[in-house]
Amino acid sequence: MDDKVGAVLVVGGGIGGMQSALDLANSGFKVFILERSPAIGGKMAQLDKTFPTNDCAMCIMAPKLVEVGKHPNIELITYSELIEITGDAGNFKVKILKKARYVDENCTGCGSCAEVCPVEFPNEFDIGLGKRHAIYVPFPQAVPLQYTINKHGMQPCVAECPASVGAPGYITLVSHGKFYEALQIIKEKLPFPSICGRVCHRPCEKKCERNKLDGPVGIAHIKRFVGDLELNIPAIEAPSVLTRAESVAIVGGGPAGLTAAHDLVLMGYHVRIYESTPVLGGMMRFGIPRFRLPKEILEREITGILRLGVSVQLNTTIGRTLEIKDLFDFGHKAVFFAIGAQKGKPMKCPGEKLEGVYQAIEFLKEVNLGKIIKTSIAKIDMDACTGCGLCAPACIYNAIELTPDKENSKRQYPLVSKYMCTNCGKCASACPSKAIRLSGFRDTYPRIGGSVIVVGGGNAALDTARTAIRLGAKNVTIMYRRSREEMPAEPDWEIDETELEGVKLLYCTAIKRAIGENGRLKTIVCIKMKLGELDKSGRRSPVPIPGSEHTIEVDNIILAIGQVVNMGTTTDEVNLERTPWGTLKIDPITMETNMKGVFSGGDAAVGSGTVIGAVAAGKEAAISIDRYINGIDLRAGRDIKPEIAEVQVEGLKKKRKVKMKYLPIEEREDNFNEVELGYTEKEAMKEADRCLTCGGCADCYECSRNCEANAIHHNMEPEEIEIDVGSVILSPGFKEFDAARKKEYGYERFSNVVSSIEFERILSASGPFAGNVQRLSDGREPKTIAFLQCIGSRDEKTNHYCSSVCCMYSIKEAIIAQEHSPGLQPHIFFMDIRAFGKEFEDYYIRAQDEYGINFTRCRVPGIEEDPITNDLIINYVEDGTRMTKRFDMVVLAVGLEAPEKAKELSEKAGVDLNEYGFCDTSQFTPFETSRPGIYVGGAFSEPKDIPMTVADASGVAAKASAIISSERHSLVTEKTYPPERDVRGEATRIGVFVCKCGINISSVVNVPEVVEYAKNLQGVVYVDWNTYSCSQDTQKTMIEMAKEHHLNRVIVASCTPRTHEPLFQSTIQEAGLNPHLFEMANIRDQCSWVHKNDHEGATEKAKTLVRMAVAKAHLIEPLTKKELPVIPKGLVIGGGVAGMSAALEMGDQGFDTYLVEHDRKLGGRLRDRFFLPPNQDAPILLRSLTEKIEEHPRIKVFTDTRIIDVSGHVGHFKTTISRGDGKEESELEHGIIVIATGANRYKPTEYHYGQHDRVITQIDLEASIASGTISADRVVMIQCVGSRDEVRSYCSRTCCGEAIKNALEIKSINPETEVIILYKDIRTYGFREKYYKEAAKMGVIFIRYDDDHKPVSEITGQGDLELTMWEPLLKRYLSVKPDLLVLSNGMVPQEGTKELSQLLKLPTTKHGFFMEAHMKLRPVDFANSGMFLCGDAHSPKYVEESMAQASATAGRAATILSRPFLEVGGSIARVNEEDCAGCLTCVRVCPYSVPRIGEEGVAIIDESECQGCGVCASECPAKAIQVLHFKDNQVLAQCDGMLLEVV
Amino acid sequence: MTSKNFEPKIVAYCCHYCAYGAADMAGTMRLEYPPNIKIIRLPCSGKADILYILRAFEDGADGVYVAGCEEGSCHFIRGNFRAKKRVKYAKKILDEIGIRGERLEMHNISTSSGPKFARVATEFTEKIRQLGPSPINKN
Repeated sequence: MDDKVGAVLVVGGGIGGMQSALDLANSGFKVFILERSPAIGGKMAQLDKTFPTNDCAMCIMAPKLVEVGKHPNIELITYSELIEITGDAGNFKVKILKKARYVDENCTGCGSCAEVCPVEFPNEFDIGLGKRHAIYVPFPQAVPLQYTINKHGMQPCVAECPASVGAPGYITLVSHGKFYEALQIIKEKLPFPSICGRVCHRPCEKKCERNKLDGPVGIAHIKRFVGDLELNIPAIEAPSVLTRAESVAIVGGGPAGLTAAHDLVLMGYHVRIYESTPVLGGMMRFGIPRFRLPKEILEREITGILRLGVSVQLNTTIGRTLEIKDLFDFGHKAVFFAIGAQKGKPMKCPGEKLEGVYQAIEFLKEVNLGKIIKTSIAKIDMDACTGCGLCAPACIYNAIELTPDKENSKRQYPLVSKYMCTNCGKCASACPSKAIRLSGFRDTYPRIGGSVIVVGGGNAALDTARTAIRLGAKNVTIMYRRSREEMPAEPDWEIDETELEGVKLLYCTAIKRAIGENGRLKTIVCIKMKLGELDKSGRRSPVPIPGSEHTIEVDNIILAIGQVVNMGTTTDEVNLERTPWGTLKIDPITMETNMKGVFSGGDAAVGSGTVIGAVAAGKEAAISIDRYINGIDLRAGRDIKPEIAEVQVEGLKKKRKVKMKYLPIEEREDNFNEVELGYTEKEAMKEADRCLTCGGCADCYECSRNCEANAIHHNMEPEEIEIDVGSVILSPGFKEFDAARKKEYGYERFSNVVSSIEFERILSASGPFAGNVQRLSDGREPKTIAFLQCIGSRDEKTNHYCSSVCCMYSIKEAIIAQEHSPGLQPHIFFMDIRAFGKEFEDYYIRAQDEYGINFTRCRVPGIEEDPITNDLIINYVEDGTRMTKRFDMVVLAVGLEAPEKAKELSEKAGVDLNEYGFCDTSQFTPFETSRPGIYVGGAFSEPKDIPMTVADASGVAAKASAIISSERHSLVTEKTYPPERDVRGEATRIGVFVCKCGINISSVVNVPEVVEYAKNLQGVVYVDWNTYSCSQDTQKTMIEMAKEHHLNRVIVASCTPRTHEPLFQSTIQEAGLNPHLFEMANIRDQCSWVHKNDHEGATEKAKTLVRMAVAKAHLIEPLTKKELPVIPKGLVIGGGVAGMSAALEMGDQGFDTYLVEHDRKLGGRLRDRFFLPPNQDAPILLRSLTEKIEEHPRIKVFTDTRIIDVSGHVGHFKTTISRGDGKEESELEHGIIVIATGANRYKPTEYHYGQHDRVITQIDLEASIASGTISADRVVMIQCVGSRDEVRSYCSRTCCGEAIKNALEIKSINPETEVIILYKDIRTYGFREKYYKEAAKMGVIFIRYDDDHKPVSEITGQGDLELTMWEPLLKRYLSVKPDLLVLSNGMVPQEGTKELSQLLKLPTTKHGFFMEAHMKLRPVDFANSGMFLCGDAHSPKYVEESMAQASATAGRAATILSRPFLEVGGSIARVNEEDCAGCLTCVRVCPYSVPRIGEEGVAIIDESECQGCGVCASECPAKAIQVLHFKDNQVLAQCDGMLLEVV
Repeated sequence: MTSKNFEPKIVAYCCHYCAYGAADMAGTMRLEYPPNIKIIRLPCSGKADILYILRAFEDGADGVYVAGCEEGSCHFIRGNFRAKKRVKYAKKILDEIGIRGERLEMHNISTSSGPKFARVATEFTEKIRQLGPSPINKN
């Protein structure tokens, strides 16, 4: 395909992904980083220190994070998932799902939101040891520094609530004592908190995840508590919201209608409720007795809705008084028809019409409407009344009307409305003359007989029975045809209360007929039922028991068996379609009826339902009506089933539900006083504290309220995007093995057993314990810690492979733990210590010798815990002896597994996985996946450490860019700025911008005072404060003000320059100023945040910091950068496999490359090889590489050539080479140098090598196997010959693999051949472990030796070779006569390394290998700019590893060779030649060997190489060197500014 | 000035890569330390010139410390070792001229060591408070 795209997608933002991205972006490609988590940084960000240098992981990584975050050509797509990759290599289309983070790009990362977020979760970054809020950044240095709200699925209670009322939101607020905020939240969704808090059937509580643990949270009780707050303070003032011209008619003033009215009026519509009765409330008023729902509560909440501006027309029946079409004629644009289901269902049994048989609904209605209890209102004694008029304003329900006295207009006589009065007594309290008394019920009972039977099992039955009891019935029985289990009444306790009040429950009984006398009920005939099969409702259906009929004498029967829609109130003109059950037929999603513009819901549509169901209907109707009026699709997005959150409750502490207090039974007699007494503040808070906030964020909106940048949007939706890229790099990293899978080690059971990554966080200074090593059980500092290796690695039951890094990280953790906690005794239990990397063995030795860490070779079978002390007991075997040891703590060294969702990723990316679930690659193309154009880097292809991952990252970048090298620079953007203003000669004009950082600074530092102070500082011509200096609008202001006030220095007093300096520098560049005319005063991180309890001190310090910045600002100068042209060619020194690969990779990237080899042929040591482990053909590899090199148009090979001299600098080196015998000299010009000079085999002097023909090396053995000349019955191999000894303490890394490969070859030729391998540790790391296993299975005998028991060879008198070796299990020496004694000889540095290192000024390690710039993060760079390193010259390694490193050098080289110019200069050292005495101090102290003494006898510091550390400047005796922007006078000005207060 | 209301003036020369980062981390972690400490940022602790140290005392600082990366972790390979040497030397000078070398310290604080930064700042302030004002300030 020709249309290639010059962009690369990097999947995974860990250290590998970041490095790939930087290399690609710095070599002319656009890069997208796709990261699943909210921030890049990956696992390395979680580490404390790194081996073997003990560098602080964050210290070395943070600059890279910042660089990636600020790179103009790297786009971060965080908190996102890959959907699919289509297209072909060179041109892919990638679909990505950006998950909703609920916080947009305006987030400044100030953290005010997290401070108020009441929800806390275990912090993933600290592996759950610490806490974080629901709104969070994963770690303080996160990039991007943009918060994310954690919402993982809908809260089950919210999902179950028909009206989706967000319980966790208000509950969380209540638990933090934020009651009114809680009320506000409920009221946004639900206009009836107090009502629903009392009468709701609480489906939410049934789904509460706490049910799994200790019963549901008392959601309704808490809601009631919050709602009742309004009893004491006026309702939250509703805004006047009538913003729309349209009006809506609501038919029916019940919960559905009222809710719709509430929602619509808040949307801005005019709303009018048409109600057929004289009162609002519907079934809430008629159907629910006052002892459950006091009338004043009802009135208050209805009044609250009316106050919003809803108008009401009572006593109006649509269908009788008015028709629906009249409503439209009145101008209403839509109608919500919510007339409820008001008619009791008949029982259809003889005698139903007798006097004394009531319908429950009518009975309750009469009671509730006061028809029966007429005098339950305030009664005014007119004789005593003075007409003062104080009672009326006291009435909160406007139930008292005042009529002026005809004679004395000052007197006003009250009249109490019997419908509106609630008997609350407010008027009586206000009456100064005690003329108002509250009437009771005593003498006004309706005529209810002594014996009442209520038929039904629902809430209405209970309410009816309890009402009847209160009305004086002596003997009330609820008769239900099924058993108690089937009763639909809820909640459960309501049945208990009913029984307590004296109501009897008669189950499995039904009325057959009622018999009357004189038309009045007298007896009933009942029949017993038994429970039969399950019916449609899922309950067992009642079946009459023949012959069980019996009669009961009763006074009343009250039927509570359900309600139906009473269309009797309407006429046929209401042409609304009905269902067979008599309810209105509606669309269940849109609530539309068959009439256009008419919607229905609630009981009218579903039959008798619940209050909350009606509320939900009202809400849905409101949405539909709004959409209908606005012409929006009614259905869109409404029937989506959200994912429901779940919570793991195991291990959570049980907390009993706080019981609500009830009115004592004896106080309930003869009155309708409320039975449930509500929670106190304390009780509500305690109960609220039980909420688990299952879905993450509780939706309490505290964050949004506190976000001054308005960056938080709780309704944010996920978004799908598509990007075009030329190639893709997969570097999603790895996942730690879950230690809980190895049950025998007690992880998660024993509190002092932690995983290695947890321990890493425990050690970290920024971790949960601030770096104090402590036990989780009691916080005590441990004295002994056991480290158990190979947890989830080298294990038959979990992962067979070796995870490669665990040995080293455990050693590191042991060392660091001991440093944190002197005296601590770490003890590492291992199988083999696999310290195979560069300098690893020395680290291991140091751990033993310097730190005294104990090492025991034993796989521990399991751990026991002392239940009292929580100490851990380990039984193990050491040298054949059984031992028991007690430890304070155990750290499980968990292995590395394929990353989370690796399978999903592989499917989406279309690449294959290997047998271990990692990305499949082949040995000599380690970066290529099964799909062309998609590459893999880092631990996704095999477990590996950071240096290998970082090298991989550069290598895979080279691969990924090679196929699109023609598109280099095609998609990158260079930021352009207006020309810089020359400020030389201008008087200093300083502008100071003081940041409030939301409230991060201003809540502690008195910002206006700082502003005023700064105004008086010398040279300051402009000062102002802003809310966020880093926000877009402030940036704009800064540019405008800089121009308007002609500023030539800018100071921002805000946060840290480490993250924000580049941003502001870029801003002032846009104002035409040199970026170095900028200073920062860190008044947040170093002031308001750390002196938060000393406002005065912090304000003074802020002033000082500003003064210091101003003092320096006077002296700062513009710094210019110089452009040095780059010769886009590379030089590779060394033509072995590494050098050849490096040259090929560079050539493939489009750079001319010189390959210089001192031998006559290319190939290096590969030429001596036949099989490469595991059993790859070496000659084929050699041939393929050589052919490719020869054919490559961009590679020029110089064999038989030596390097004579190198001069120049990065971008332009000049190298003199000499061919042949030195006669032919020529000069090469190039931009970079790759050192790939390889290493040599150690030539053994041990074990009679060279003295006996049966003693050979592995290479010799390989040759004889290849030539088929091997003949031996017994082969003994000795490992670590010339490695890991007194002279060469390092491990040569490949010898174990080589030995096993040869052993397997021998066994495959003749399985009978005895092969014994004498070893110290078998270091078959990664997937190589497989071959170790295989060798053992094939019968290869592995016998361990140590330095105290080295094998001894001997040539007997007969000239035979005899080998004596120690058998550690038998604990004795054995002698064997090997036919072949094969020495696994290690590697030594290449000859000539020293000379080359001197010529190029390159450092070497103490073992004589070349030394890279930084072991972890710059593994293939030299500290000397423009020079790179790969292959065995770096340290011994396998061929494929050399090839990977070679690619890496090409990736790194491209960052230089791809640029036409290198920019040099900026804040670097400059020599004042006049002052320089040429004393060599700078030459001596420079860590980078940059200064040299030139021909003039003065120091020369190459601008392209200086790193700007300033060590030379501080040591220069003549002060002839100054570091620009940190010149002595500038630093001293800060010092003077601080202490002398001079500017 | 009595030691009761004596508020020491302290200068901290911090390297950009570690100690300054640690100070930021202390902020992020909201760790408290006395406001007596004011930081001057340098590219590397190896840039902390003896001149800077002495000037601070001359200007009336009661205490000075240089803070760089942990040993072996210097962003500039070994700048912090140069700083260590220089601080040692400067302490000798301070002893000789009567200001007392104790008023000067060298610390190694890694980026993530916010707690250590706060601890050093607190302890050093306390130490200088005990030592009392610098002789230069006594007049």
